[in-house]
Amino acid sequence: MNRVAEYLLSTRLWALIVKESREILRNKYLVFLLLVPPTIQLLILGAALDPQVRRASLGIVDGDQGRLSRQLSEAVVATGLFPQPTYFSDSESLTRYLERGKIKAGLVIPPGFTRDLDASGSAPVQVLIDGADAYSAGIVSGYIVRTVRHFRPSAASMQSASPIEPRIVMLYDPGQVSSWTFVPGVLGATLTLTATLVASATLLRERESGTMDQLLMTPCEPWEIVSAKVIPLVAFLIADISIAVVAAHVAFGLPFRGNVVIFLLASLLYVLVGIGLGMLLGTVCQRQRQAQLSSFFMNIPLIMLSGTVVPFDTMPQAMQLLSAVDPLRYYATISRSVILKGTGLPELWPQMLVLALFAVLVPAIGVRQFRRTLA
Amino acid sequence: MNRVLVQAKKEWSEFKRDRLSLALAFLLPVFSLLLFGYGIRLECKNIPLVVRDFDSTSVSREYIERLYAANLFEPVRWSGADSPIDAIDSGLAKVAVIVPPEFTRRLLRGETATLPVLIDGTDINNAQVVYNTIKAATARYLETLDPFKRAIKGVVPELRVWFNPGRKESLFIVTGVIGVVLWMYPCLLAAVAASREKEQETIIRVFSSRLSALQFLAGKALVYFVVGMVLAVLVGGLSILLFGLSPVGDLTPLLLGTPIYLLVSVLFGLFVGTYSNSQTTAVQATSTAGFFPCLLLSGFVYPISNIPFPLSLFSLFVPARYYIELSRDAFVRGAGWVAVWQDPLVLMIFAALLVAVSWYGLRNMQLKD
Repeated sequence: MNRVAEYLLSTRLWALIVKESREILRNKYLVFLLLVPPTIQLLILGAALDPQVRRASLGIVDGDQGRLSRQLSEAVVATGLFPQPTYFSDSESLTRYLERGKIKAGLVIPPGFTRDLDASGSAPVQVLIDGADAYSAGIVSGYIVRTVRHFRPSAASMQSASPIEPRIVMLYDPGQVSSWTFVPGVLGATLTLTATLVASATLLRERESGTMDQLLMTPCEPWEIVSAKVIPLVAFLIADISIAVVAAHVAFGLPFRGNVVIFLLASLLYVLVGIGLGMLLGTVCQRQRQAQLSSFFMNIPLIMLSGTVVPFDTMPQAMQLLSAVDPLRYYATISRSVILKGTGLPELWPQMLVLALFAVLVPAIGVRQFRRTLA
Repeated sequence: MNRVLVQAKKEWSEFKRDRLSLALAFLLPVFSLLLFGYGIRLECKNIPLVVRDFDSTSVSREYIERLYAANLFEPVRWSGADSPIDAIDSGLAKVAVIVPPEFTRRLLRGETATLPVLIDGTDINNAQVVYNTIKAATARYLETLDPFKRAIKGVVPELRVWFNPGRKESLFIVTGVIGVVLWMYPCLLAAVAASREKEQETIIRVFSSRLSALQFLAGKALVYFVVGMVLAVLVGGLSILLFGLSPVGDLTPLLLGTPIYLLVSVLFGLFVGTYSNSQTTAVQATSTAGFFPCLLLSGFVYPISNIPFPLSLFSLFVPARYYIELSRDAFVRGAGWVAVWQDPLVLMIFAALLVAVSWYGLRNMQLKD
């Protein structure tokens, strides 16, 4: 056992790996790039990405000031969506606020509401919605309309419970904490950004400073040079992911329900894809700046199509088809399923297989291009 | 003034020579507009639903039809042997409704029939909509079921949706994309230009010339400001042509706000550029400091009101937030100056601050030499 270790430590590859790791550690900018943005981005994204409508501003005009009109506005406020409703004296001032975007919704109860409802059992109210944000408008109007339609004067609502009682269970994320959904996917997105940038930077630095020729003069084989560049990066990025998952656990209480080994395996595959993409960028571009700028062309669609930041199901059909060649999509699916749902290989093997395919193909193309530039 | 123009001319010829920057300046914004404009939608129309009907009576079938009538769900085939949770686990379905065997009998006896509904909570976009739809569909079904008990019509809401009566999501998204695109790219180009001078150390020559820091900045800003204006026309024109945006009210706030906003973007880029030592750092810094906050804290896709407390303060310093308000007012709301008078003002303050800060940075360096 000791001998094997000794042998490994004395190989050229090991020496190269030590050289590359030292170089990465010496470059403060690279270390910063490797460790800080992924964790910070993850924490900010996790906290800021929240599509649900949790608070909205509501304006109420109570032209009736009666018993039932008060009950109705209380019932609407009790939905919990409108923590601090603003009261207006007339509907003109409410409309003015709505027009200026100061409130998102308005409820106008006409005079004589209590009397009409008591007498005929029916009375109209006006619900005004700011439709500029179509998605939130749909949810807000849904809440108000449902509450208003079901409103019964308290005497009548004493009657027995509703005959059908839907028992709704939110699986995996019962508190509807949005960061739980976003973090596992965004993990992949930040990993893509970091891996491609760092990998292309390490390649190009050697070329820009002209030390690549020196490396080639040594007895090292090209494969040794390449793997010595890749292995420390992989180690760093895997450490990155682990830090990020722990940070998300501390900050958002993100659970980890599945198998850590499967998650790390998928992460390893995806890191290889990212490094391969970075190498491709590095070989195509002559200078670091070009690589950085071109990475926008690659990373924006990669992240956009994967459904990690914006929803996937609502994309046009063509884009959904296009996302079949987006490796991040597969990684996001695996990471979400393993972390939140606790699913294992029986369900996830197709995604794993595709990811493995990417992890072999992309670096292979990258290495081929790299060798071509060497020749 | 003459010196500023000469400086601008020099910058322009350098910009023109760099093919990649040229391509980046015009292709990337259009590409992003198309990708974001077509790709981002929040409202889902066909959510896969699995129904396990253990009751299988005409009543339960009618109830299930009610659910589908809400136009939100799409049936999924699921073999009867496995538990519906497996369908959600494997991602085939997002919602499962289980009708228990006693459903109809309990309903007819006047008891409460419980109905388990499982929702994939990881689909945070739709979970809320699904929840509301199931509640509403159940209520509608009960209304049709029992016309005698519920003869009272109760309160009748008259719904009026302002500004965007068809609730077209593209109006909301594309007006946001305009703000994001006009922020990201002018700023990126300016940052690269400013840091190039430092990286190649030609800035020493600039310092030794009689050009003052302010003239140097103005010359560079002018070029990218003009590029930005061309972009604004390009992006605005494409949004009108492709996404059917049309001006709905007073356009003057937007027309006045756009140049100020572009100026802020260019100045921010110059500021980052003058403080970073290499072009790589400049790009990296603009993308972390400018791009991500602009995408996430500006109310572009997800509502600003959801951002939790310490981060929400941060969003006050995101210029895109104010510009997106302007573009949404011009193309969706149409309320005009009364609603958005403060936005161009805030943008002007940003511009003044950035001029001061980057002038200060450059002036210091000049003294050192």
